Amino acid sequence: MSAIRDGARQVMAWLHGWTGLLLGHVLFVMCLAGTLSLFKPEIGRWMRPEAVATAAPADAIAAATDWLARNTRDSTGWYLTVPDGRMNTVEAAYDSGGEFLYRALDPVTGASVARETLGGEFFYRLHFELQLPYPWGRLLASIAALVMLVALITGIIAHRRIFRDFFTFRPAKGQRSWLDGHNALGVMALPFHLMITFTGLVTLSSLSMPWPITANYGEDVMAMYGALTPGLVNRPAAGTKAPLAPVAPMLREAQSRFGGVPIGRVYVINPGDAAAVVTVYRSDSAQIGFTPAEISFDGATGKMLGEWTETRPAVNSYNVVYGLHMARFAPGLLRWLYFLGGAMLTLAIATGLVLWVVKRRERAPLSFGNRMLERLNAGAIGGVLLGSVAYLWANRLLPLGSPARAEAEVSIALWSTGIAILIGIALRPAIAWPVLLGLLALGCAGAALLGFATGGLAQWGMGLVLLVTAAALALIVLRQIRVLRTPAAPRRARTRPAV
Amino acid sequence: MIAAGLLYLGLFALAASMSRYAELLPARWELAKRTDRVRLVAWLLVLASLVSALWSPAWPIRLITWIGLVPVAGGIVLLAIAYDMRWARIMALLAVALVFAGIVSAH
Repeated sequence: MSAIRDGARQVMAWLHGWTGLLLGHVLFVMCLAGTLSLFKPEIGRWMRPEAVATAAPADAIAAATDWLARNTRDSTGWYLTVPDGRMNTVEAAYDSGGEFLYRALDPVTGASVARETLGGEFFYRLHFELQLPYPWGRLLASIAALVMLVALITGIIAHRRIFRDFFTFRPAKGQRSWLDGHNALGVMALPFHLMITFTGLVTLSSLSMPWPITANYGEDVMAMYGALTPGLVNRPAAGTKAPLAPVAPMLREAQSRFGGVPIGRVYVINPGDAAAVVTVYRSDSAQIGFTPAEISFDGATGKMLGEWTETRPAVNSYNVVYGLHMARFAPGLLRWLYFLGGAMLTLAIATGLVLWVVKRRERAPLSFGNRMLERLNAGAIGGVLLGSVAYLWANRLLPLGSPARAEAEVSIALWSTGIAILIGIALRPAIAWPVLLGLLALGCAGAALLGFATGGLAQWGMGLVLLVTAAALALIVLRQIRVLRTPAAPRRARTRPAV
Repeated sequence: MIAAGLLYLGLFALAASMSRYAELLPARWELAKRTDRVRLVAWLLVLASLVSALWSPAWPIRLITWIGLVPVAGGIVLLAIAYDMRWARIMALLAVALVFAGIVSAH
């Protein structure tokens, strides 16, 4: 029986290793981006230092709709996120002249903020779209989440002593330290890791498991959306121009009907048309379950068209799962705990990737594939982090009026990552790690100083986080340099290449 | 506060119940011979921490917070064991103070 159990454990350990390796780098990007997007509004605020004005939500939305009415043409919809305590601008997604745009709008003037940037939205989108076109990015993210769940479950089964691993970390002992670190990071936050992976998988389930939808609705996706949001008032454009009625009274009416719960989003469909519809959504920051509640108004007259709150148990169950993943409900402390859990998962993936190589190197000379993986690990792990910091640098250094500025920031982030990957592949890993992490430490410190120089101390929190990260990385780099200078100890006898 | 303090104490005791980390507790207590009892106390403390976290109308958010606190408390114990056990003991005293402070502020 014990032999069977040990055999099963070995199979699970094998599966754990291969599933982790297969999409490990993709999972690293997803987890890092997801962890950073927990502070999406704060990152956005840091990246728009000129936007310091604040306004009441209703006034900010009124200003935004006024500006959009003057500055968009042939628009089919404006999708506005209302400012709150964490974000002072109105986040607007809209189409104009056939182009789909994403802009932060000043809460007082309603105009697009001068420093055109995606802000934290870049990390949020990267988390589940991976900068790939629809649906490929989401599909890959969904498959990666499934692989992550398999890796977690097989990791649990493969462990002999899960509670001992909880407290075991033996530093400076080569493979043992990497294994301890990987185990401790994985085991300590295991409930969080299981929760965030499962909820992420369910969030993208329409892509990974589309068959229930096709079985019920066939190819008619709109029918599915109609059933999912039966309260949504949607009507075709009349083709007759009509100005939008004042939005502020609609928002006040909606808020009083929501029982004082703040407004979260405002959608204006067919703006400037006689058949315009203004739909006001309740904020989802007050509860775990993202429970849609919406009130629709006739855009031309301001009359209420419909009111709807989701009450179906199955949909509400899904919304709790979705809400748990999005963490919009999380107050300050809990948000940081989510961040810690996400950071631990990101580090567990990174240490797992490194461990794969370290384990094999201690047994025998590395095969060509594993040597490439070792270099790719340095390049990809260091590169993705460097790309994130390059994104912050680009935000501060690109001229304010440059065309397609937001896209240029993203391009710089991606190019920086690409170059770092090439550096990682070109250099010996023992050199590549300190070089890339050293650049990262300098990058973090530089981004913090640039932030203070251009935005003052208003966004000191993010500057402080960057400086602390830079200091921690500098310590790691110094240690790596010290190890590099130490004469190498004689290695164990090598027999055959590892597979 | 109470939940966080009890959770740390529970995880500290759980580590101390393992022969490898028995020196977390004073040798004169001779707990090495009674590891089963220490383990039982450890799990009871963890359970008490969970119950105190859930004892609130806002229990769903507090449950998630408790799950998030596990790696914080566990991480402190782990790092202290790895680098300097004295810190684990000092933090245990602070955790006791945290529990008392929580009880006092609750009344």
